[in-house]
Amino acid sequence: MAQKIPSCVWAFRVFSAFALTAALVFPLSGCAGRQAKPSYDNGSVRFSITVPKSAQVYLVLFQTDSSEPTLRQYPVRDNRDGRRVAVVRIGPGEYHYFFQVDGRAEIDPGAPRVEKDDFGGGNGVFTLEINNDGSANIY
Amino acid sequence: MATKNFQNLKNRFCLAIFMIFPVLLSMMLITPASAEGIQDHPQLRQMLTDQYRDQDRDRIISQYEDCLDAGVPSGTITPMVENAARAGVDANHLESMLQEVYKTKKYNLPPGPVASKAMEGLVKNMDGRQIITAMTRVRQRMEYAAQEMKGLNAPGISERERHRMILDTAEAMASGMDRSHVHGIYKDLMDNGSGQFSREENRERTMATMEYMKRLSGYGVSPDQVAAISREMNRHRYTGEEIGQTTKAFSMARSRSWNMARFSQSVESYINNGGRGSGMGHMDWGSAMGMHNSKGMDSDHGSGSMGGDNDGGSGGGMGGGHGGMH
Repeated sequence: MAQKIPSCVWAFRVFSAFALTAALVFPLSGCAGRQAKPSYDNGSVRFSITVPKSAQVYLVLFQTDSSEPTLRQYPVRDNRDGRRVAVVRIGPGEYHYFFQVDGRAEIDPGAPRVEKDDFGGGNGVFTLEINNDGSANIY
Repeated sequence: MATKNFQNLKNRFCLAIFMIFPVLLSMMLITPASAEGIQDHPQLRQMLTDQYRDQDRDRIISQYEDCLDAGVPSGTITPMVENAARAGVDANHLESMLQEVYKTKKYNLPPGPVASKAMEGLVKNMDGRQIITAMTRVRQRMEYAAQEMKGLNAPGISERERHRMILDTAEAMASGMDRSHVHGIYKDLMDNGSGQFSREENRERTMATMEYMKRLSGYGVSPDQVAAISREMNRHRYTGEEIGQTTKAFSMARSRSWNMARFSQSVESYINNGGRGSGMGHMDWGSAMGMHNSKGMDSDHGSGSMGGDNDGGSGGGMGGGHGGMH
């Protein structure tokens, strides 16, 4: 014969399940919610990513439509808001990029576009367009 | 007296030529021996010596110098070889990587993208085999583009422009254009170009079409739609400038995160109804796409907007004007 479970126990169970789910999901959704696509300011493009503080991070940026290799790695520094930021001075054009986090390649979750990379993964892609008034479009 | 002076001058001139000629000849003979080689990169040589057995090192150096002799700039392959050696890539794989670059150059294709792909693979910690496979794909895409270009009647294209078009086509293929669609676009250009446009106009149309194909593929427009719009543009005898204006319209739509499939359909109808490229910047695309407010724009990312009446808001506008392209 099944014993009736008191409602306060049910309430505790539901609360615990909710709290556990929130504890697991919130940090992830928090990261996702803070995704930022590359932005342009005063001649430079700002890239950012949220990774653990101890991680070694580089930005790898290149153009695939150039007849010469253009791949370059840039250091990524800590920012006050807890994000890691790289600011790179580049001209208009189409760029491919990814972050190297502790040696692993990671696609920027805020990348305007993602394209396959011939290695089974992908790269973030964006076009930088400078307007006559000095502002820029990144898409 | 004057005759004697002239004779004297003539003798001196002949003597000077006689003395200079052997110097010039020996310089010409010496030049190939002093061509760039591993001796100009002692650091690389040391790195290869440290990393590989003598026999393997010599094979790599031989392939490296073959690349240089074929005309591959050292700036294209030296960083690749250095990074590969540093990453401990197997000697056979590194040799094959250099062979890929060599083959690319031998086919008269730009070797940069192939070497660049190797660099990307090395940074991504891919193994040698995966890197070679990716490099081969890049080379094959460019080979296919070069093959299609051969059939194109576009004389007067410089080597630099040829490389530009090959790169654009290869990029479009990397972004998802398959061979049959690329072939269709080249064929349309060929069928509609000859006899209807001047040589210069044909050159411009070809260049503009390659860029159009690359950009639209990159923006996520389906190959079917890229080919269909290209067909319409050819049917309506769009000039190179008009094809460029069409590409700009897509860049504007992309920068505002509009739904590319719907925008493509609107552009296709616009051209089909006789619309010209010059009018694209003044077109009310919101109405053409059947949406009259910013909420209805149905962006690819859910965040796109018209920016009111296309005032070139923060979403960006071509030319920064009134939502038009100039």
